[in-house]
Amino acid sequence: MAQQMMCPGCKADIPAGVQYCSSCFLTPVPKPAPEPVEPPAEVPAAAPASIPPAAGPSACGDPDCVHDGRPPAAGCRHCGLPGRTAATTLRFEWGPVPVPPDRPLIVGREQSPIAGRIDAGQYGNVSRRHAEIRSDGTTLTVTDLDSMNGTFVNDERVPAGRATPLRTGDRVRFAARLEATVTGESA
Amino acid sequence: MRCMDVVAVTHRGRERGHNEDTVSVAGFQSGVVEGQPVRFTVDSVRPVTCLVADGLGGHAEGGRASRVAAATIGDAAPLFHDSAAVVKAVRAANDAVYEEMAHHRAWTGMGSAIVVLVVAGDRMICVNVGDSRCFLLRDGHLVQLSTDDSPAPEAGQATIATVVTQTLGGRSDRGEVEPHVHESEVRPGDRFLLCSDGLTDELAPEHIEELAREADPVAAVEGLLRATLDAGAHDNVSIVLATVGVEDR
Repeated sequence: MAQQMMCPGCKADIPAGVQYCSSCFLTPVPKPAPEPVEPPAEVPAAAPASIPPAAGPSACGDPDCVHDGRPPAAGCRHCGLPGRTAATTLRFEWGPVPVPPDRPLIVGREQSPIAGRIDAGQYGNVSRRHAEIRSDGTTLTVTDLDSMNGTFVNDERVPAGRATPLRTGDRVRFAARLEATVTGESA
Repeated sequence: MRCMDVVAVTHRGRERGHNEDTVSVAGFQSGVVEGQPVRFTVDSVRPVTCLVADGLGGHAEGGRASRVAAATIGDAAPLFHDSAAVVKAVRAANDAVYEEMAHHRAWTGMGSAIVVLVVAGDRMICVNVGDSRCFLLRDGHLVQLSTDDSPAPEAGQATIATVVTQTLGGRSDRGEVEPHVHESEVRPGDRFLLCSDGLTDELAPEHIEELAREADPVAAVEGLLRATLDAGAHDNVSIVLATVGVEDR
């Protein structure tokens, strides 16, 4: 089946073989497959478990692509493809906590940079060392550290001791109440 | 208040990966690969300057040359009250391209054709170097005002592979340019068409005339661009359609 093409400007479908959008004069780009691509500056809470707008290699299909088909983080100025936004921040109830690639984040009531935020009265069922969040620069993984009450991604308990990948919009819950959303914001 | 209505577009065409053309209208300079027509309404109390600069095709830095040339001429535009000032600015643009070239070995030989239109009161000045063109559409007839710096094609031959005898920059050693100047009076309703050779190489003059006559200037520019793209658009194409003070606003 031929690749379905669309105008990067007006998003209209362009029939195969047509060289440019008749209203925008832009070169058609391959239509993104199943789900509509969401704007990168999405509010994460509004789209639980959504597919991140990750543009794979040579996503735009333009042989002359100035970015070799890999749009920069800010998005491609020429074809309009959204960039691959890094999703390395956890947004807690009190604010975002970025996770740098070289410093894993321990979530827990003790020995954790956010221990001061985890009030024992409110989040008493969070373990002292509950879970570990690691970043590879673009995505996060969560590893449950044998916690008493478990770690959940989108309400599904993750196995202890094994790194589970996280995607933009995923809700990570530590025990019953402490919850964070994965976002791409840096601040 | 007298106004000029200007619609401008620049597009890389169907074969080139980059757009080496630069369009400038009343100080606003283009910088897009595939543009859509943009419409300006310019108060023509002071001189209004429009230009198309066509970076030398095939040279990697043609776009750099056309932008440097356009910016140099745009900077001098407030002084364009007579043709001597425009010619001086075009010569300065030539010098600026050579100066830019000296910054990097790989930029040696970059160049640009240019056509400048200045409408000052009821006079117009057209200055060009190279094969970018300026036409006047008056009473339904399209007349070329600029003078091509290219050998006349043989009878029956199309000028697809254009040879240019003079450009801004374009050589490894610094050279002078002799801009072509055309001055005449302007009447309300006159329509000027500035374009790079990407348009004139693709479309026959009669076809350009027919499309440029379209009453709505945006539709006219869209028609010209569409026809060029449909014809193959082997080169970057830039179109500026400037209509002189048809209505008072």
